[in-house]
Amino acid sequence: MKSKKVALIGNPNVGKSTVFNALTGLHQHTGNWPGKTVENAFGECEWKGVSLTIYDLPGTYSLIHHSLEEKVASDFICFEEYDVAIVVCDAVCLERSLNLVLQTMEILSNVVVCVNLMDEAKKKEISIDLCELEKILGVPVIGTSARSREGLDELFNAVIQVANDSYYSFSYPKYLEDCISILSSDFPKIRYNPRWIALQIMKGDEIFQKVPEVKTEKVERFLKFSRKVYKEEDIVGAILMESRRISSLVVTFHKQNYNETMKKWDRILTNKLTGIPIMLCMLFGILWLTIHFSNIPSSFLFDCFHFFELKLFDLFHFLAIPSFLTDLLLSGVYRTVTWVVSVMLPPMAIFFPLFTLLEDLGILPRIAFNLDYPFMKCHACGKQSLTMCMGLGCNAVGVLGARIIDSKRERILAILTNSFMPCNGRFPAIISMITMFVIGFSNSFLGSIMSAFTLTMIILLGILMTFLVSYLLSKTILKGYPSSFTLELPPYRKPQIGSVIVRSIFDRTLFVLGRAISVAAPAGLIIYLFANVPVFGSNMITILSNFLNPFGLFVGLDGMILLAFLLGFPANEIVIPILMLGYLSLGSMTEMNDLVVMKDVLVSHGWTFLTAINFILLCLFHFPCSTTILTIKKELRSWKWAALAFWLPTIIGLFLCFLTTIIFRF
Amino acid sequence: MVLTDLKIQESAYISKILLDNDMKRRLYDLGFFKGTRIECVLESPFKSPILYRVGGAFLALRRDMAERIEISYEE
Repeated sequence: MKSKKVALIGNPNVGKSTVFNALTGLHQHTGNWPGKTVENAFGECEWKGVSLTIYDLPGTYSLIHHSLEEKVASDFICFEEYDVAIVVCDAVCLERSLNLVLQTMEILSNVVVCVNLMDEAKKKEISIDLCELEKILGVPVIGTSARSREGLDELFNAVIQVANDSYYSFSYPKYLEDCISILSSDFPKIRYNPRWIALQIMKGDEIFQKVPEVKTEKVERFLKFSRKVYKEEDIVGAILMESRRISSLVVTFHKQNYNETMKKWDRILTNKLTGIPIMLCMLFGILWLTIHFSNIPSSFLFDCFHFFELKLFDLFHFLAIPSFLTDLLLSGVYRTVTWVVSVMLPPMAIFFPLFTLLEDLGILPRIAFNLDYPFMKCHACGKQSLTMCMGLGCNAVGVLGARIIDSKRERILAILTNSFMPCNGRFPAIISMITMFVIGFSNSFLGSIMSAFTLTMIILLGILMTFLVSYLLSKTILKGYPSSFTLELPPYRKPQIGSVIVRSIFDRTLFVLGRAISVAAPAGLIIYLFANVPVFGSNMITILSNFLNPFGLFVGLDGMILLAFLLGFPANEIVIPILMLGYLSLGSMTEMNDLVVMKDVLVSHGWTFLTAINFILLCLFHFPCSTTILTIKKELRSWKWAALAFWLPTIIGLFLCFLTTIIFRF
Repeated sequence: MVLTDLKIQESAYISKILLDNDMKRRLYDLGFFKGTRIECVLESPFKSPILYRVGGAFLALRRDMAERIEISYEE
């Protein structure tokens, strides 16, 4: 069977991933903000007997790369071997998209232009003459509305049929043209456009690493002169003017003020008086919905699991399985895993869809817009707030998302402070502490409002700490001034409710839950062994927690809490079950599905209001989970930063606990 | 005249960009070039960044950057 490799590129937030999903039937994450896709994804599909491998590249404005995420795409387009490039354009901003089309067409001949978001353009009464555009460019131009799958068949047909052998060329200023013809006059046979290679040679040495054969004698002789006269601005200008010319020939605006609704909303959401309160209300609202509606399913799951536990116990007994093994599997593994599932699943199944909804609407970039100024004052970048939002879901995702920040220094700031945002794995522990020790028990409406309010305050504390630490780091080891900042605000888009639910449940909720379970099962096993295998007349749990106890008490906690956090390093979700298992192994309690019972256990082990406050503080400020640490190591390619990301929040957390303890005792 | 002199809902044409090359290049990619029509849309709660409309896109720039983009009312 014939096969083709297809690359999908385009400006950020023009719906590349939507086109990709529609073509391949996969579920690559999409979201209404620039920079959602940070890594190459690929998928396979078949059309009329041709098998296609499609690569979804991160969004880029230009192939003369700028930020890290853009380098991924431009390296792929420039040097990777593939058959066709689909350039996805935004019908609403065609002129800017054409820039990228022209740049791509200078590099390769087999280009298919996909003008996406035709539906949005139609709504805004912008019409585009696709036939004329096709005639001008000389490559297939297909109009699509990928969200409603319009125009995809035509796109497939164009991809398998396209066989263009000429590059798009337009004239640069004369001096550049002269240099190009001298440089390219004795290139060996290469699979690249000689014109483009000549321009790259004038730009810098990087091209010689990728295409060493063009470093001919003549090139070397002429190199110095050509680089001296080379002005990038002239190239960019020529391309920009060409896109402006083409766009003026094919685009007609029928209505002048086509963005009134968006402006109206933006005036409210970014208003001096209402902007920030509205964002806080949204945060509170999401937290409240999450807390309020997860109580009932959570206790239902507990009851179900408990019921099965009794049945399993009977079964194990019936099969005459040794009681040590029964206890290990049921009290150790089963109980930890089911605890994680029943406590984690309901809030995640509510939080993630709500979050995805806001993301699809296009709210997140507005948050960055509102908050850029305070971040700038801390010498950081406003886009850090986007990574913080992602961190509320999962810190590892937040760290990865920091690629949207151009400056390396500001990116490191965002990465190091990301764990100050409590991720979804930490919510349940914090919420149960709030319920047990701060506002008391109540399943009522008021109770959940109070919990959500307290949690909002705790997150605000995390935000304040983010500002403070970003500022301090900028003044010490990460010295520097805020660099450039450009942020594109996308149009508000109506979320597709069905796909929001499906995507957030399957891609996010189940993914995170799966990870938590795969950590919880072995952790349950280990902790059970720790608690029950006799060592030196005692057991490991007692030995370790006794060892940590003096320090724990010193900062207003205890040894078991510290041990639980340490053992919870692989996943924050298991801190509470480990803690309970640890305490329970020293007593005879077996039930832990009820917060009232849980509180009794905690109090009987010396917990006070202060312990709970300190636990919450430590939960908010401690080392991020192992997945996040590994992601940091991968992103910054250094164990040093990873180590700092480990110690920084830990030291802050322990210090704050110590501080509250001192304040409380006097 | 520079971009920050533009009042909300006013528009003008870019005449010169006085920024370093890297930044200039980035702005070119976003469609900021000599002769581009630009409209001031709104300010953020802290007065910076400021939102501008260029073509069909909405772009936010910090005040210090906008101050270094010269504009004129005539094309």
